[in-house]
Amino acid sequence: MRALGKQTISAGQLAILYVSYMIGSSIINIPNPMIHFAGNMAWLSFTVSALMGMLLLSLVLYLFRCYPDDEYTACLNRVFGRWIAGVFIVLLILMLFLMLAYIILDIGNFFTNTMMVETPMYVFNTLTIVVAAYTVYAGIEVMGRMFFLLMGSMMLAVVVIVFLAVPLTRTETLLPLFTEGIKPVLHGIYFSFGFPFGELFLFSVILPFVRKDSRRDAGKWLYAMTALSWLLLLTVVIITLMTLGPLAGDRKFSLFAVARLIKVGNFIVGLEAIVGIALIAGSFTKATIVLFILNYVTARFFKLDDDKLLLPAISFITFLLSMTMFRTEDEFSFAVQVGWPFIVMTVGIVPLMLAALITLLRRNMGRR
Amino acid sequence: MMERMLVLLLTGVALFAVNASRVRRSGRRERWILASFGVPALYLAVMYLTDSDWPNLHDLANQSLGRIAHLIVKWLEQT
Repeated sequence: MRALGKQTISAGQLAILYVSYMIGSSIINIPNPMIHFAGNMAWLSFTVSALMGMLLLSLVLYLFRCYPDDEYTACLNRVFGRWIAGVFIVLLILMLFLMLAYIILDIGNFFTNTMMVETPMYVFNTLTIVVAAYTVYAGIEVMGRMFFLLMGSMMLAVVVIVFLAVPLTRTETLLPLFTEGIKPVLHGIYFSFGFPFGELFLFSVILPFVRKDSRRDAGKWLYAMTALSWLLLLTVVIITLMTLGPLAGDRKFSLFAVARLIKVGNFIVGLEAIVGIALIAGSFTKATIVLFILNYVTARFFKLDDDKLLLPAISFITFLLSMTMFRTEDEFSFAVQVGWPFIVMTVGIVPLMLAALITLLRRNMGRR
Repeated sequence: MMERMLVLLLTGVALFAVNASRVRRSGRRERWILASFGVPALYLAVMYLTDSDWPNLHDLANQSLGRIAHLIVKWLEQT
């Protein structure tokens, strides 16, 4: 396998990858279910999830400080031993297959529901996975540079929608608060911690790629980008709620629905087409990062000399999963909104928390 | 069926074409590992071609962790 030292990124590029990953597909998928579950209290659920995400990030950074030269799988091996770590890694690989298939399927769903309803879904799924695979072939450095442009265009599109939607907003839709008690807020936390904040644990795999001279700033960048992701997603949730009112919880891809309402004078209409493409660029960046992580973790698990050997097979299986997993869109929504957060917490976060705890205990005992 | 076959073929060619030289350079162990990935790929490909509703990775997740997740969400939805 090529040494890690040959493929490196700066802390700034890490930040670009991280924000692409955090905002990527969530900006289009978060507002609708969040408002559906937590209603007017979606902002509170989201803020609590972001704070929990910060705590999780501190664990990720702690493990990185303790094992700076080990990639994530080696770190798990060191903490748990080969066999237990092997079980955790196999589960992680399965989880990543599921995650990538969900993102690919989501892109296809978005297009077939909004902009290109007559086109078969396999067109979008095939194109997404093929382009993502070729991007991963190009390497993490290229991804870090390229995603700056994609994320820039996506954020610009979101900021434009938010500003243009302000005249359509009504503040009274934000009230009343806590009408159904605390449970809807907890439901919102359950969902938004699983997607996207809990998913940040996967950056444990990316962190060792940061150049050694740039590592000191990596933590600060990641905290700042978590806060930026929170701010951007929260703004989108609030604007959606204020524009669509109680309907926001029932409208799929509600940010796109907000863009449809925007009309400047009588001549700027149909902004949603540009916005839709920009939003889907975000989902593509996330799919690419997840494919990179999946390929890398699998290659390390099998101790392959060539880390790109399995990439086409992994991409092909993911494409097939995205085409065969669900019969209806409701099944897909149910899987993402009910099952996915729990899978992230158990398969992803629990091993990381245990690894951090065991490392902390060992270090304390070593000092004594 | 023909349409699906064509989709599989085109996707497969687009993904695997660039990998041919890597496979030629790889050792026996690597080729075996690569071949083992052919098993789930073949299963899913037949499933896709025949439009069958066979067990899938999603079903595995749904029948294991999904059940607990469902209980949690059910409790959260009770008012």
